[in-house]
Amino acid sequence: MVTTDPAYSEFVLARQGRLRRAAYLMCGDAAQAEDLLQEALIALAEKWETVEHPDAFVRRVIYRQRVSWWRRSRHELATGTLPEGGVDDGADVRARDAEVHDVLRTLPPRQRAALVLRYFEDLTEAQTAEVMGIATGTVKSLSHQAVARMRAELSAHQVVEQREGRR
Amino acid sequence: MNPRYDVPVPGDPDDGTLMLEVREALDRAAQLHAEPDVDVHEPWSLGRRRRARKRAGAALVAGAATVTALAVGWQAGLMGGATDPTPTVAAVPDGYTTFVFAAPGAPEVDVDTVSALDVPTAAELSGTTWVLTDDLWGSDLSASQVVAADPGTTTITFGGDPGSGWGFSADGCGGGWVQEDLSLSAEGRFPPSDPVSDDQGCPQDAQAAEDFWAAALGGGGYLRVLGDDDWLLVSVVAPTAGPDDDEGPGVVTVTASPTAPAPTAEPAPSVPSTPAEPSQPLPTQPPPSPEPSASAPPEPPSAPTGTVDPPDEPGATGGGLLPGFVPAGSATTSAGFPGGGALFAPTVRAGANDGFDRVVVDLTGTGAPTWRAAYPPEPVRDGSGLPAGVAGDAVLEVVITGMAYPEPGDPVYDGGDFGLDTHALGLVVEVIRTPPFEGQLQLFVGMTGEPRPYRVFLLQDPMRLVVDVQTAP
Repeated sequence: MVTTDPAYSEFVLARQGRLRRAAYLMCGDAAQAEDLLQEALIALAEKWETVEHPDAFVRRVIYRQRVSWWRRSRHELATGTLPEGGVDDGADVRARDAEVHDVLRTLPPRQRAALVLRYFEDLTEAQTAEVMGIATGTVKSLSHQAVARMRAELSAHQVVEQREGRR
Repeated sequence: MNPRYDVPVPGDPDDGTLMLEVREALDRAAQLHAEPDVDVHEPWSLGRRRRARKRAGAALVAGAATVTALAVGWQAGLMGGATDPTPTVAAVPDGYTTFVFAAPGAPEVDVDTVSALDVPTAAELSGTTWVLTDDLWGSDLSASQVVAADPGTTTITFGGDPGSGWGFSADGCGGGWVQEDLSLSAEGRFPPSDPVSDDQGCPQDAQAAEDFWAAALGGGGYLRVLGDDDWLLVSVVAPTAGPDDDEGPGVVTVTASPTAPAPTAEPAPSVPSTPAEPSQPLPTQPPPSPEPSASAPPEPPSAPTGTVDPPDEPGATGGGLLPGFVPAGSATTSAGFPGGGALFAPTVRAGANDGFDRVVVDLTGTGAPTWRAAYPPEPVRDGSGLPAGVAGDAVLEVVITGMAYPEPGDPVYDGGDFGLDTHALGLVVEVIRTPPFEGQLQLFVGMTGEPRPYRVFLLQDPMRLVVDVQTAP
């Protein structure tokens, strides 16, 4: 009954892939990423006439929603197998990606978000600060810590792998 | 490098190559197996519907939006049979009934298997909508038994913006809105309040449910969330008197025009017929005699169809016109259009009446509006030229002039469109009031089927513009 605004459709279809992947990196769960994206798109539809920068708006909603879920679900820190596993294609790649997800999982939520926004979404520090609602300086230190930790963890993983004789 | 953040890794972390490695790792890890196209229509219609539910809130001054996101410590425990005394969610006192609301898309609740409860913060609930399930927490009764009505869908919605309040809706018709933002104590308690009813003359079950929830939520209670954001537990004192026709205990039910006398005795269609010859455009101000409040409940039949209106113009739909109505094919323009003024149109209401659906635009400020009404073939928004995006096969457009620009900080139009989902009415399915553009705004009234005869007139004390769409054949 309700006609979808063509500009909205265009935006969603053009940006869905990127936004979904960013959501996935933030939460580490494909299904939850889908929920995050859906929730953000609903919020966008609700505010469509007043939203100036839909991209920034959606990112902000995804981030805030994610934060609220973190707060809510601290008791059930997901670990172990990746939920999206099951389809068997490229197990090696899968293992490497799993590593990255393992590392991401060890990051505190805000570090993780800063990392994804800065280095996956390629936002500037100022844009990241706006999405997260924090100061630019905080973004700097958060992403710095995240990068340092990520690199340390990744190289540690590699050492272990080599020792175990895997590739 | 700031020593506080110094993690012993080789090289400079901002070194280009190393950053490339991080970027590549992220890119790789972001690959998803399935990347289906979003069904664009679904989030759009959900979002529009959610917006439509946010009624009266936009008109309020967002002065005391002081709900702070308290850092509620994580607590888990069983409510009801709280076996673990430390630190559990505060037990709800005796005498409360706990209803289970589900998030859209949540799985069926199996209350016996869930053990982790959490106290939400108001900030976490903001912008969410929950649907009542029939399960009661810790009771063999069902929700519809306690409410003593089964109105279909009952929802609770928390406004997403500061100052937008929260409220409930029964069957998309009866509802109540608490104009203050939700405030929750660390124990999840919300204080008593006076939900404002947007009484529209709903089906009996929706009306009964509205009375129940206005009383129950108005009395204050407790909120809990359950599962992974899947369910909302609402503990309230069920009003004992049961669903009367009128106010339950402790409720103040206020319609948007509180001074309105009950219109039930008056055959409503006769209202503007006195000042207006049926075939002519209505004069600017018919005497505000009998009150055509949008809250008029379905009235006893008063033979409204036997009208004597030969001037069926081309474009009119078959049958007779009610007194004061003009055929769908004619446009009406009020005297002095387009006139000035300094008006605001914070809210819109709608209700079913005998023989017509009524839409009421509440007006505040000074001056008097003028208007022009017609069924455009392609309703578009002034300013943007985009389609109106209103549900329905035919859309009546009413352009209302004399609108003021809000002062900076006045949230009257912060919500953008003001929308009503009016599927419960006879023919009108959606109403949208746009924010003003260059001193005028548009009211779109979407209806099922062919364009219908209509009438537009102004009433005073309080000032409001009334748009009626004939439903009688």
